[in-house]
Amino acid sequence: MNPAIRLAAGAALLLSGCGLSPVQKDQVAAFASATAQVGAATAAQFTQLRQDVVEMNADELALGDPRQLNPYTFRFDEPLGAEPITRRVLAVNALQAYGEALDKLAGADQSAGIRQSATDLVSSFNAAAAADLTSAQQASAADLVASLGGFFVEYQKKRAVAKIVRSYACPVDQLAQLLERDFLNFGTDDDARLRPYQPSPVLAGCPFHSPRGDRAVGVLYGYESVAGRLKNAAANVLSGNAPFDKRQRATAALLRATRNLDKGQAVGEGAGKALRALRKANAGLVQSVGDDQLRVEDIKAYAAAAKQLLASLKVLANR
Amino acid sequence: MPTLGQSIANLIRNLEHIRDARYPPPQALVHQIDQLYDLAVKYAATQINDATAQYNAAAQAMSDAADRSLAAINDLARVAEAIKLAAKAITLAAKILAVV
Repeated sequence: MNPAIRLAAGAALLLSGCGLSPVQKDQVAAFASATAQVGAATAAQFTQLRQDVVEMNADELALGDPRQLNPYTFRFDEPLGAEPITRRVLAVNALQAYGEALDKLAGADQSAGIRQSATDLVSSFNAAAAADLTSAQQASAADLVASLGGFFVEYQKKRAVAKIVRSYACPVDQLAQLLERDFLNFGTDDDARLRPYQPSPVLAGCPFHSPRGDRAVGVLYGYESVAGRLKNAAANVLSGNAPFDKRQRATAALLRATRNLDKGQAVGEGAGKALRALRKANAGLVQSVGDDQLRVEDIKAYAAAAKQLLASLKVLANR
Repeated sequence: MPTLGQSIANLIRNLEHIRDARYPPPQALVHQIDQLYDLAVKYAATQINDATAQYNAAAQAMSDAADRSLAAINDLARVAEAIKLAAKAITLAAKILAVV
């Protein structure tokens, strides 16, 4: 055999030997795909919750006291306006892009797909950062795309996984915690809702500043308050002597409010569990790239929580 | 003492319990639940200094109202008293949160 070819084959073997092991690949892929799916499902859920709020507010306008509610100034999407929801959709898009970039690196994909997903990752985080995170994190990721070579041998993929995980560990942890607060149910644990950001233990040094500030109406908090108000208004109409058409509308509104309260409860439980598991698995992944040992159990638990969340969201979507 | 927000949520939950147990529900109760949801959303969005005497008075009144309404769930004879305390707590909280 030509010595040059022999040398190249030897080098390739050596490099691929230093890549992710099949088990590590599976685990990174499991984490990545769960993150991408949680991101996509959560983005869809935010949009749906806002739509539900518009419909519930419309019902309340129809049923409420006309002396209290002015139809000309009435805000149908309060308190889930377009701006706060856009902010959150950008955040979950970033989580989704993170999952997809890792998925590409753990899989058989080659340069074009990897470069594209890395570009998406940087731009998604920049968009989310503008809304939710400090700009310091944008800089740490800015050279990511440029640093990825044109041809990915396994060794380079492993380095890229490590680089991405290290660069995005803090923003992912912070976004996941902000989202976790959004999925706190109304009336549960007011302290947790107001507590300042606390990084996961392995990420103790994460800097944090959120333009959202410490106070914001969480998505489920706002959603359930609208549903609770509507239930109250509908119950009030139904307990009086309202005309038939108003009672009919109140019955439909009561049903909608009751269903949405159940939905909020289920979404809160599922999303909270998945996001807590995401933070734990993310912290585990950071440690793994440091000591070269992937913590299979954390990632398995996260993948299971993500699966459960997706299943419950699917059931709720069909109600 | 629980936060003002936690007591508002607790009071809403208890008053809703009473509302659902009484048919027809007292109008004052229905109106108070509506006001409390307004306060809850306003509270979540507002930066409040919780070290002031005004905040403490409102948080204490709301906590008392929540406790009294919990007792009224099991003893409907105490509903009127619960409504009275809730009205006082709502007035104090509305001042802090500047809700008309």
